Amino acid sequence: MMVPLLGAELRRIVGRRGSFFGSIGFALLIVVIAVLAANPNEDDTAIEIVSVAGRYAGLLGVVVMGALAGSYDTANGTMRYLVLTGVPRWKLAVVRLLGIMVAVLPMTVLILVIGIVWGSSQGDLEGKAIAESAWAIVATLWTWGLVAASVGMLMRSNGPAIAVSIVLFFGGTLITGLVFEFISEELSNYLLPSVFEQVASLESKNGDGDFAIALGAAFVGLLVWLGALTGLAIGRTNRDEY
Amino acid sequence: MEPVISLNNVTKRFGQNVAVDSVTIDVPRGQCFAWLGPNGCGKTTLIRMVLGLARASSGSIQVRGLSVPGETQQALSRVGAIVEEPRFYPYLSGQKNLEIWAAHQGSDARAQIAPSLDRVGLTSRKDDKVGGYSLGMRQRLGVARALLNDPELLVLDEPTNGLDPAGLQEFRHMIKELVREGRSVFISSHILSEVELMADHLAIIEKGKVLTHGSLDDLKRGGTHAIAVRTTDVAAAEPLLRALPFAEEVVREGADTLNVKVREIEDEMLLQTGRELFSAGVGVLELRKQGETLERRFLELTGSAAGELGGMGAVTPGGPSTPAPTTEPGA
Repeated sequence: MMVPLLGAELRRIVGRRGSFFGSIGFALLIVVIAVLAANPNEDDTAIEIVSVAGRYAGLLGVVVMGALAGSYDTANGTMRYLVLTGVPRWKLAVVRLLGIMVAVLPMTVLILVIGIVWGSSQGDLEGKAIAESAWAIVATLWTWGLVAASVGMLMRSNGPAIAVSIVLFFGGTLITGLVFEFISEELSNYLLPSVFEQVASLESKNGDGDFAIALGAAFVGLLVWLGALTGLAIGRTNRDEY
Repeated sequence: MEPVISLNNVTKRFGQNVAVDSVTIDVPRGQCFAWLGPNGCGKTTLIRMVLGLARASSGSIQVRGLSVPGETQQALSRVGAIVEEPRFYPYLSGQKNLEIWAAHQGSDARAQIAPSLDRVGLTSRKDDKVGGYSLGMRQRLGVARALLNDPELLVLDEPTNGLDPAGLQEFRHMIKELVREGRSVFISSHILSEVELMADHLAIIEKGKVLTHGSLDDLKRGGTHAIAVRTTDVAAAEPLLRALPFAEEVVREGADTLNVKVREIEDEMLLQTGRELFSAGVGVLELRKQGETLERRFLELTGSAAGELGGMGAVTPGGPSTPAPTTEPGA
């Protein structure tokens, strides 16, 4: 039953052509600019440059896609007709989250293809670097896609959901910095931006102060954050009147 | 036969406001049941509770013998509905929209897409984006969507909004056909004439309360009928009319018209009324039967003018209503 529902969710996401193709186009544009402007070296290989450019450019697009995936049906009035199909509400919410995770894969693949082609032409391509870049991109897009979709379900309105999701990313990073400086260094390691960065980069605890907790703890921390946000969103979908 | 919808003391409160007030009613199976009342009287709220979209503050609801919200999923498995306004994905075609809903309802629903589109006359426009559909076309697509799961019960909230006269006639025909197929249809409306032409049973609701309910014929029979007399001399005519043996009450209506209320109207009463007035030399401009319209019964029950019910909205005696313009959220 989940597969047809997921198919329907993907049709909805892709059908919003502006947000779907616009996000992919924007991410690829930034990646191409990076390819044209950057000079790869031993510290920053071609695929690493593409990965960083792609994941942060893609993040902006995926926040829009995710927020729309979460809020569109309620804002558009179609949610009540989905509820009337008899499919449990929690399942409708879960399908949205899965939908956004699948919908970011084409963007991931395209960014990666550019990185591989450029890296090959530079002669600095390694299998490990490809795998790490793929993980970094997909972890970024999944994390912020899920955050945005959850915010969308909580906000129930397209514009505010997009705005709040973007503010969560930039504001979250700022707040993490403030917590680090003025409240507790240890606490800041467990905030969403910190654990997300550590998981995306697959870095273990190191001595230079970048990451102060174990990678496993960062994974658990990220899962807790995402679990809390998606749990709230599913809870609201279950409880709301349409 | 078990009712298709059974409401027992159902109440819905929004803070201090009581939108639906202790409604107890059984909706018979295999008939068209109309829920009639002015805008804002709680029709949609009740429908949302029946469909499990909103929770009742108190009372119990059964749909197809199953408890809502307890067994909503099972209860809705063969229920089709339009609530307030049929909403779709405007950036997808009519066909693709139905495919999305069919994906939520299983392969049987997918097989119903083509027949449903055909039934509502949208086959030729199925590949057009819904964003380009008129409100009437969206209403018809809404009915097509409601038919995808081969519903035992159709719940249609103000379903004729936006339909032109030809569309209205087709819609009435379709409702009758659906009822003939053995389905139950529950419609809400504020248009009296429309209900009169479609419904077998109805409930009249005002300010969230059911004023009366029953079969259309019973409700009309239950009302007071009248003989409307337009005369050249109202003052002289009034005592003569009061003296008529069948007159229960004489009410002045307008400058030159008197209504003689009677229990059951008969042709002989008109003849006798005319004779009395002619023999007394009172000029008669018009004599006509009044009564047996739902509108009169409705006004009797609510005790107010059609356009002033509860100050909340209007019950329209006839003709399609024009909904307020709505905006589609952008994709």
